[in-house]
Amino acid sequence: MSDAKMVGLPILVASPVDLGRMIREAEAIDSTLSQESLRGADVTVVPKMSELLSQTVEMNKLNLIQSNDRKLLVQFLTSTRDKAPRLHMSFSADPSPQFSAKLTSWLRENIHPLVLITIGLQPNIGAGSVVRTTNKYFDFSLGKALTKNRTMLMTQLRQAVTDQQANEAKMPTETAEVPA
Amino acid sequence: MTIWWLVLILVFIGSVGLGFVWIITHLGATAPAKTTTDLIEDSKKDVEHLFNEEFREELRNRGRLHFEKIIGENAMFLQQDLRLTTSQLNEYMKTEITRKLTSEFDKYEQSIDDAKQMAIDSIQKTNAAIDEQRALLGQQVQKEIVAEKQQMVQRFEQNMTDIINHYVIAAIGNQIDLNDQLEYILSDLQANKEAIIQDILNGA
Repeated sequence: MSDAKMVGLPILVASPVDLGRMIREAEAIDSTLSQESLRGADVTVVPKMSELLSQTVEMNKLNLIQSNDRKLLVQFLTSTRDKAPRLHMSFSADPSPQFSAKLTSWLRENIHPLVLITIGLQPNIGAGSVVRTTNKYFDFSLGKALTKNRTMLMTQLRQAVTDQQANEAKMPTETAEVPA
Repeated sequence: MTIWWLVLILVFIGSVGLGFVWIITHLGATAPAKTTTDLIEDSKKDVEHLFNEEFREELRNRGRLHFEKIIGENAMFLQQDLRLTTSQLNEYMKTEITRKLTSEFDKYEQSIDDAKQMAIDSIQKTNAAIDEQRALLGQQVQKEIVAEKQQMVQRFEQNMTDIINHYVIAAIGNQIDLNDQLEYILSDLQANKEAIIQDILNGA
């Protein structure tokens, strides 16, 4: 069975944890419906699913009453969990669902359609993010940006000090020039 | 004058004696011829008659007075001579001692001057050495101060960014909403998109 029929994952399914949950859920549904069909019952209703699984099924136009589709789904989810590229992103605060959705959407559009994201927390980065891929580490934090622009900072500081010294040197002369 | 007196007296005595001897000789011509021995004895008796004790005493007194006079004069001469000699000796001693003392004092003063000059030279050398050392030390300290200052400035500059980082993060870290950062985060991801994709594909 190939998963060529599968389109992709919904935006809300972003992390491996979500996938794991969905796999367990899909397997449970498959098991339930399989047992029912074995008992000879007419399977017409799919058990209640979570929102994420439901969106996945809808997006990929699957019919979970069909055993093949159920197997395909499980296979697809398992394959995705095992093989999809993973990114670990850390932020200074807990992201909102809208934030995560927008981020996942951009990553799936620009990096890989099945990329999975694990979100972490690093309050000390202040602003920005830290991205960890398979072999690399990308620091997009505010601290890193400030360090990168250190030379500019020192130039500005020196300029400010020079200007201040020039002003201080000028001040007594200006005081002396005041007419009596 | 007194010597002449003595000589005169002796000549007088001698001539008197000779006269007596002649008289006796001529008188004796009429008298029975005397023998030489008788003549000698007669002359001795005449001499004894002339030179009696009073005369001898007188002569002795005269001689004593004369001798005393001469002694006195000589003593006076001697005294004068002694005085002169003593004063000359005193003058000489004075001169010699003064000269010697002056010479010794001069030497002493010279040696003191030399010692003083040596001490001054030594002190000046020591001062010069101290000044030189002080200058060297000053330069060294200045160099070390400059080096230390540069090191501190360098350390300050190195730590400045960390300090500012911490400050900014501490000051505004909690104020920036994550939703506001989305555009900034996405722009960073966009800038490094190729690298991320490359790593994902290679890693896969």
